[in-house]
Amino acid sequence: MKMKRKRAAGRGRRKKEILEKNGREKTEKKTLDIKVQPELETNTEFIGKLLGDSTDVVTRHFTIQYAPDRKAAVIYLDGMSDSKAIDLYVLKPLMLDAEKIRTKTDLWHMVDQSLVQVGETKVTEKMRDMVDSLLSGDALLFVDGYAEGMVINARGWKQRGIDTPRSENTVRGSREGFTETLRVNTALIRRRLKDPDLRLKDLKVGERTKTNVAILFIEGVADEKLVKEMQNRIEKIKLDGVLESGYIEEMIQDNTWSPFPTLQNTERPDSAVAHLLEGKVVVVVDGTPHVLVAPAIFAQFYFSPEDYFERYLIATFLRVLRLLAFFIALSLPALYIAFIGFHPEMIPSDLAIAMAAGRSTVPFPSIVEALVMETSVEILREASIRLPGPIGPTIGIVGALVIGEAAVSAGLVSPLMVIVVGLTTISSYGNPSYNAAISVRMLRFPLMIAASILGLYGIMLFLMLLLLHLIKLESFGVPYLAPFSPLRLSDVKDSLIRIPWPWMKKRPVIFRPEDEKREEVEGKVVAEGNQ
Amino acid sequence: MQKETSRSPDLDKISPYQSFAILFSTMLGVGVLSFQREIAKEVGPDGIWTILVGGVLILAEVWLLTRVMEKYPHKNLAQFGEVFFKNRPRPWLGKLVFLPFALLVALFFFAASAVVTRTFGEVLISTVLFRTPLEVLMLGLLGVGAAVAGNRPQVIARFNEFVFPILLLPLPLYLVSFLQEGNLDNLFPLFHLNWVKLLKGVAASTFAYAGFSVIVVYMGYYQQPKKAVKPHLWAIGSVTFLYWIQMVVAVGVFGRAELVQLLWPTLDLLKVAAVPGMILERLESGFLAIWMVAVFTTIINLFGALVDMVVTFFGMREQHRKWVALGLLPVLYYVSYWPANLNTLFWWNKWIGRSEPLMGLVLILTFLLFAMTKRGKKGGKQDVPSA
Repeated sequence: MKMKRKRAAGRGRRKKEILEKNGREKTEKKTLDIKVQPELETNTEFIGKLLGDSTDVVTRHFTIQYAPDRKAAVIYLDGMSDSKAIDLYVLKPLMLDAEKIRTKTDLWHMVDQSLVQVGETKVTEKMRDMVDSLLSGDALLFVDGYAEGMVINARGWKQRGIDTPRSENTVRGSREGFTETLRVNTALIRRRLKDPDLRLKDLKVGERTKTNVAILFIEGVADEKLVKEMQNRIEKIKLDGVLESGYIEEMIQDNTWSPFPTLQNTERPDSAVAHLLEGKVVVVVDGTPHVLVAPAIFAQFYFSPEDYFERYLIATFLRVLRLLAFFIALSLPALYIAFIGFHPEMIPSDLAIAMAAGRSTVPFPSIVEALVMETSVEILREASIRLPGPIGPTIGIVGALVIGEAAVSAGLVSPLMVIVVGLTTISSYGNPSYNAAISVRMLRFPLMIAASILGLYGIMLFLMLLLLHLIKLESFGVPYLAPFSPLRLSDVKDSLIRIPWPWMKKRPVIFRPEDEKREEVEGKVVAEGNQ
Repeated sequence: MQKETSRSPDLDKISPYQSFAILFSTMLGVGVLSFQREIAKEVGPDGIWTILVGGVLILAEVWLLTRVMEKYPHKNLAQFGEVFFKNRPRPWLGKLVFLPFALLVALFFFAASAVVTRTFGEVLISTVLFRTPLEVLMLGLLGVGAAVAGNRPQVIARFNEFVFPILLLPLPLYLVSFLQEGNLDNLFPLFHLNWVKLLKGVAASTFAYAGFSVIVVYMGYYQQPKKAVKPHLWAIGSVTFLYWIQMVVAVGVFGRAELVQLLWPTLDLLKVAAVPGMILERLESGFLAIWMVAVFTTIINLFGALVDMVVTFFGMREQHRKWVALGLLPVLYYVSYWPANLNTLFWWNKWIGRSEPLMGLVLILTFLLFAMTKRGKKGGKQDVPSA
């Protein structure tokens, strides 16, 4: 009884706290939801206080020429806005070239219509809009006596130029990669896809970071439900900060527990456009060059953009190679363990004798040998990424060659194990996408353990479980193993093989495009234009 | 965190190709490893054509079963009682009347998956994993099997669909061993049979064809039940053809006298095959690993059908499906551990093979009977609107 009361009291206190907190938030919101006041000082002071008199807030008070009684102020964030542009096209016309004001028209009207010489401006009375714009890099203009303010687009911060995509190297194809700025990225896509049906939907994610996110799709090609689903999932995100598209990926992915990614990311505009043309949705996130693509199927992580640029035979050959690399990366160490421990009769006798000689000094069972070697290679790889540029490869060579060689001659590891580890590592790099490669690298370890318990039979049992997981997995309603399970013969044309472009007349049906034919797009646009 | 998404409608149904894969991989099970011996024991080289006769008989039976089942689309065996007794005042009566049939089929699925598990366990410890305890092998197989069988039949169908091509991988090896070691003299003399022997030979081959009755469950989930005949016949036809090849190869390579002595003739065939330039020697372990897939699909299809019957019969919710599978797992394990030795096991194998065609006949006749009475009722009931 007592306990109950106590707990109830505790609950009551917590409720109170929550209420207080909510109340505080509400008052904060209320203060932001005010209108711009006619008095200039009130407005500038309000903004100054709101930003806590941060040092990067620049407030410039000045007097408009030919209207000495009218005080005005420009507010912007140092470093976020292009101060030169503000000087030249906002301050200079108002301070020096304001002759037009002498005509008897309204001052605010003249400022808006002919004095501020910037392309994108917006007049508003809502303080919230103004503050949001200020924080995004716009400049604000207030004039004393008017209960409105002007948002002037003067965004101009230092940004990285367009660079070659680092994570997706190709021999042939565009060298342009996405940058950290959302608008640059959408422009890169727009430049390659001059389709009036290309749609952009802007969203803001992150309570505090207020990160701009754009959903891109081609209307009439992408499934409407898919677009809506994507929008819903992104709108539901409750996070205070979104610094990279990975935050969004984890919040909207279909299965949190899966080792396999259900959204693809790419740094290449050409690749993003190709996905759009297949009826997928692309999500561009401000602040990262990696855009998200959904839905994603398993096979897609083994495609390189180059597959579509090189001739189809080359592409098909490379895809078969990658499949082989996938299996080597996944199962070679496990097979080694299974053969040594359970099925030595399968190894050709000459090789078996050589292997036995190589292993004769090794004091551990093959599973320990393999685990130690594979783990150290993973550490080596991780270390070489973190090492400063020029040292990386050197350490890699020292680690792999010197330590490997020494381990063999010390009799700690058998020579064949070194070969197995080397092949596995190289094969895991045969995968064009980094995140899918990591999942294979991780799955190698449980597979090795399964092999050490039951040999080939254990490997098969584990693969069956893995297959079950893959079959159940879906990405935005598209089965992950499509087009093989469920089988869509028409989509096999672009899976393990790639048929020549002249025969690829239809988009893959697994992504449920609204317009299945690839070639009639142009005709359709013209027809609509004529109407 | 599974998100709610609009699934494509064809994901919720079993496509014709998937139904082909289900039937094919259910029938292709442990029988493949030893059916040649059983047949050769009875009829010798004549097994080459008695296996075809057996295939045709099964084909006819599956055709009949499919035609009867397709009259009641999107219903499986456990729900049939409700269909027949839909307009009666007491719907549970239908369930009760149909309970013996459902129990019979469920019992068959249960026994078949237990025997298949045990047989494959015996294969493994007698050929590859000599020192591993049988318990571990069977529990591993059943455990992973339960994980798959605890899913909707559509998922099981996609599983079958994906692994189907793997089942065809060993085929070239048979041909290689026949080309290298085969002796046409072993295939003769043919047609030295009387009727009794012929019947015995056909009965012996039914063991290899066991498992076709899973369609009574999976047909309830077909996309186009009316078009089920074609994939079914194709499946039986392909299995028959595959068995025929294996029979010819086994008889051709070993001859009758040697064949009846071999425990697992198919595995011995692979020992015979030696392709020059092959990276690996002695392929039977590798073959068994691939063959595990075939056995595994047989187990999950039978086990999955059993689970689905339980779930639909009691009208359970979808989330409980995996618990049903998990609950059946220990019982299944216990039963599969029951036969004391290989002899008893083979006896069970034989009887499961023989009982299935009979069970199929019983089902066909019952369905026809119920359908006929229903049609009669319908004719007389025109003036009474159904509730």
